[in-house]
Amino acid sequence: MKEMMKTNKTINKLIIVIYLVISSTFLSSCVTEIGGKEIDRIAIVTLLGIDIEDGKVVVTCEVVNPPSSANSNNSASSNSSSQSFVYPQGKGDTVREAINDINLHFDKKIFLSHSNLLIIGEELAKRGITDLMDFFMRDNEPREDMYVVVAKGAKAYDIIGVKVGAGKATGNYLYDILNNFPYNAKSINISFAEIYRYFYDVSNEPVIGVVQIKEVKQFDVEIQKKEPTIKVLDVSGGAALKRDYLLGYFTADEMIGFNFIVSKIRGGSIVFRTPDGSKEGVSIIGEDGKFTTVNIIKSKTKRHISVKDGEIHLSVNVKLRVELNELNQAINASNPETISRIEEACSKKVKELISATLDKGQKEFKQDNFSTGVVVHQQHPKLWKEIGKNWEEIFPEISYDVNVETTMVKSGLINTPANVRKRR
Amino acid sequence: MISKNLEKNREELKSIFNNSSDLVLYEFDTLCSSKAMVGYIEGIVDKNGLQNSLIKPLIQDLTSPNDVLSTVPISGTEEVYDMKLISQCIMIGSLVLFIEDMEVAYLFDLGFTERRAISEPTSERLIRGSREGFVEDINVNKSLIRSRIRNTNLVFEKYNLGTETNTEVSLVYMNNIVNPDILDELRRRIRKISLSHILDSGYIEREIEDSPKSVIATISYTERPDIVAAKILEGRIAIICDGTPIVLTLPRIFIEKLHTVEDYSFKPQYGTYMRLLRLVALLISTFLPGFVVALKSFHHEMIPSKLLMSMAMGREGVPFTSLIEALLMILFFEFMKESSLRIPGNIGPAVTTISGLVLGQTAVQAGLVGPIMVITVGITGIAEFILPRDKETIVIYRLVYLFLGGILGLFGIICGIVITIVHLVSLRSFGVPYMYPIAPYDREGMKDFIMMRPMKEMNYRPRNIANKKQRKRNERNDENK
Repeated sequence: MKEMMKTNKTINKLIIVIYLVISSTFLSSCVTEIGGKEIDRIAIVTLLGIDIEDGKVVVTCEVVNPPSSANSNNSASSNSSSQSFVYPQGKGDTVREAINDINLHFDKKIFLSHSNLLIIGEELAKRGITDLMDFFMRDNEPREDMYVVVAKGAKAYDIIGVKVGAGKATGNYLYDILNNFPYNAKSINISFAEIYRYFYDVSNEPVIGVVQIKEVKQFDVEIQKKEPTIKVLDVSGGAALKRDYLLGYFTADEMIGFNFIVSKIRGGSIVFRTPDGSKEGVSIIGEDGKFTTVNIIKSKTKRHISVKDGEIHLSVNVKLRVELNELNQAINASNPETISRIEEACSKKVKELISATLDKGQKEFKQDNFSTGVVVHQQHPKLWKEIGKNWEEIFPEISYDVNVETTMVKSGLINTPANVRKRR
Repeated sequence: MISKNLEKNREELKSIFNNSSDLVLYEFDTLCSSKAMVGYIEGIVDKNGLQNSLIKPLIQDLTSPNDVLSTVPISGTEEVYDMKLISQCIMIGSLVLFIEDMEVAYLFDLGFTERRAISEPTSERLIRGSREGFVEDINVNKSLIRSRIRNTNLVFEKYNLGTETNTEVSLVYMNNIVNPDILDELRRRIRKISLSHILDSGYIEREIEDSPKSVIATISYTERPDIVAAKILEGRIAIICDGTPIVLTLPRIFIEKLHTVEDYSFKPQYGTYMRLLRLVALLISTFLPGFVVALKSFHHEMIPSKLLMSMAMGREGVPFTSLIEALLMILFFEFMKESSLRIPGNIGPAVTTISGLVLGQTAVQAGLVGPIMVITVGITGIAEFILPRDKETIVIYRLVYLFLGGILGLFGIICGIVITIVHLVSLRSFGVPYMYPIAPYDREGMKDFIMMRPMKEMNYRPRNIANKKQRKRNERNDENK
């Protein structure tokens, strides 16, 4: 009896050991090699660029090149944040092959988990991207939340090569600009997973971020003599895709309209002409036609689909809460009538922005980038069953109206600009 | 048997003590002209008392050999007839008196030993609380406990353990609060001890603990009488051992690691904060090196990008893997810790501080280790010292997790945590589950877990530890009802 209990105990122990060994070999999906990869063996990629050239995939990486702290103590003490970057490039028929190709002439293993930005060259975007995106969803290293942008009028590696900031990685720099989205609605930041969300929607075409090279004046006096301009990166605008290939671009202002339509506004400002002040009760001093800026505090867009005689009508209702931010004219902003006029003018401007974007979508791209199909599907499911297949033909024909309701809740820290009193 | 002849008695005692030179046998004439002989061991007997209270009265006042007890002004006198008992009593500081022509000997308790004065315990300092610590003398220790619990229910139960050392060991408990099952079990285990020598309470701990193979101690120890008093009043049992200031308390549960006696003196909010701090320190000192190594060698995607870049910068030029790097640093640290204990006098802290700074700095410069690892091990070491006890558990588990993290990554660490939790939950200390208020869950016990409730709400003693009377408060009122 006692002997049997003893054997039972050993069997139990053996089962536990076998369980642990088996689970540790088969369940450890992230462990690629026993002992792991040390940090000094990996190349930390901050930015990935994909192009297509002569039918071959070209992958360009921006890799952090850490200076050795042990060998260069003086540099570490003087400026520890100074980092240099290298830009290895690989070619191949598939993305994986191109990445592996890098290792033939680059000493460290490419490590993609810290790349938070993917730049797609314009040529590739025009050709269609989904077949090459499979790797980024299937492999365990790339992140699904990395932003995807199209290089407007350029190759991806042209963008990567632009030196920006003080020794800062282009990847981090671009990532930070894209994250400025809440302060300026003129761009859009779309991550990898969100693009795939577009593909799963019933009828919707993606709009993704754009990056382009912009030349600005060189401000450094010493370098100015040699090169008068400097290249910087700019992310205003958006790229409209049809399924997965590039159709065209929305401009910066059209992106504000776009973000209003899809109710994605998180902040930013609206600039419009100061309303005409010749009417009585409003004291306006200065020239006409100057600008007013309001900051968006909150914005909510509701879209409603109504069907009349088989005609589909879309009404976009925007509820906007703003605060007065800048007045280029000497207007007494404490006057309630002035406020209501400013509100009116703001509504008008937003209406224009939205209409411009919708018109462009209907007339130029002739496709639904605004997930209107989803709204129809939600509000008129029976109708959608009939017309869903032909939505691409129907969308450019539908009529729409835009209603904007602006409420100004704050007028800033001052009521009256100082020069009002001076003139009096 | 005691002989009438003093010479025979002398020979017999000498042979019992193997002619040891510290046995003094001194013969003198009394007033009634019968000879007397005292025997004692030099150094553990009060010499003033011997001369003034024993020899002087005997020489000057003893009129008849039968009047010894009334002549000598010493309390605690015994008449004995057995040579073996005499020899045992002489060893613990008694003094024996033989009178010629009498078959009886007298034992006088004149034991006196040089002892260290009561001082503040160095290993467990408190901001609020008593400054007294236990000393080596068991009687002083008993008095320290008795002075805190003036109650007839406080019982000292005496045992003599160790066949060679005859060490006095005492169980201390509150008769009305203690759980009789635990007490019986403890008595059984104490009686089973067959060790020839008991030099420290640690020997007893090793003999009676529940799971000798586990790294986790199931018996707690302390140097502070106030802690012992508090634990006895919760229903626990203390074991005092002669010759050591370390007193054992049992049963022990996990959460005692994070408690100090001063938590109860502070506001419960601050007490909670301190306990959380200690919990974090426990986790950091156990897991941090393993976690960092796992991240560094397997899970680079979990490190924030910018930190990873600076880490890569620090790692550049280090020839070892992270695991070996961490082992090296931990080895440095353990060396420093041990040597600072052994370095004599006040230079210890200075030497360790300087060697720590110099070693840490130069090890990075020489490319032996990366700066991140120096920080990691430094934090680990500091966190270790926040916890007053259980260094051995932490050190061993730290190494285990370090290897698991270095070989299997976070997966290994999670495996280790699962096994550790299973082990912790299955541990028992004298029948009391080790993870008591959480597993098995007890709502009353949770009031004094990490989140402290105000003292007013802590009305019950730990359920399994004190069985007889669980209620702390209003016991007198309850009896009246």
